[in-house]
Amino acid sequence: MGMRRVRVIVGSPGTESAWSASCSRRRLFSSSRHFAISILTRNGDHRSHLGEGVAECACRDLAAHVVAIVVIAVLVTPAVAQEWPSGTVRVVVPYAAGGPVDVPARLLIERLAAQTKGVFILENRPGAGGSIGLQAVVQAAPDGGTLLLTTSSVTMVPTIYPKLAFDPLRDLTSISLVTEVPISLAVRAASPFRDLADLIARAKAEPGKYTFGSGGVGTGNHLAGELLKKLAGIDLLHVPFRGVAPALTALYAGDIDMLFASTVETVSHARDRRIRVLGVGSPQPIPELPDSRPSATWCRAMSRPTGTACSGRAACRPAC
Amino acid sequence: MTMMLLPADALRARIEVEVPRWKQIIPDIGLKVE
Repeated sequence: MGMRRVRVIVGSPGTESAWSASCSRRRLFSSSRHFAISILTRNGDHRSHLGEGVAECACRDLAAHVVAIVVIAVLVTPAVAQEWPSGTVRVVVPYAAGGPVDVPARLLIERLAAQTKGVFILENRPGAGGSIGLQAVVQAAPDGGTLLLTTSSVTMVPTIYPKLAFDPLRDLTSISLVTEVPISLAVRAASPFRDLADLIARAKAEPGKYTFGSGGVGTGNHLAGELLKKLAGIDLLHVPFRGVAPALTALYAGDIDMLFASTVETVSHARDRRIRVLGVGSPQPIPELPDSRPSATWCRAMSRPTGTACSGRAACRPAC
Repeated sequence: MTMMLLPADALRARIEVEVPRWKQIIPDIGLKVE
């Protein structure tokens, strides 16, 4: 008695790694190997509106990502259950519909509505690396009527857009991390890049020739590309798009040479052999992406000349 | 592949770590900011 359990089931692939940050180069890159999808609400909302999240985890491979994977049990006191949701709840997704944040958001809404009998409306507010949607939530009344489902870009926006004077710790209340999804680096199927080391070697040979796309300026995918440039010492031109879907179209058309996107967005295209994923920000290989290299090998690719043979495991260890 | 779900306090702790980290990284990679 006293507590009512509301079970919400959402699904998406993810991974949690304990990638060692033993040197500055690796530490830099480890920060962008995933983007995390989190639920937050306007600060000032009483935490007990949603209670303390109790997490149960499940292990699945990428192929199973569309089925229920994660279970969030939200505890709500009877009094709070009476008052929340007292009206329509907006769930703001600061990205375009159909993306890796939008899909779990729709599943979340469906379950929340079924469990609470409340009305939940999803609002896609894309633009400016997620900051437009963030602003919408920050400016909302702190009455539990607005939730935000976003990515780790919430931690980047304060630096990229300082004029917003946005502070996620001050302006938002954390509710739960939903999932973590590895970032991937994709090229079109007919790309001349054989692997990541080859890509870096070609980019070094012809500075400024190659382009990388992302879902927008200031997104985690954009920063992953910038980090690759920095760490590999190469010059790539960033081409931002309004979401990953048009960036994928540009990749197919040959308008861009490579694309940083979450594995959720690339795995089906790679399965269809329309693109190749050269690397993923996961410490382990992903079976569905056999051409990809896990994060532990990225550092090696950046430090080893193309074609250099590895003689034994020691020689193949990341040099950074 | 392991999926992990963090409760509110752990998410907040992660944000507390990540915000200053990006404050350091973003200027370092030469990204033009607003």
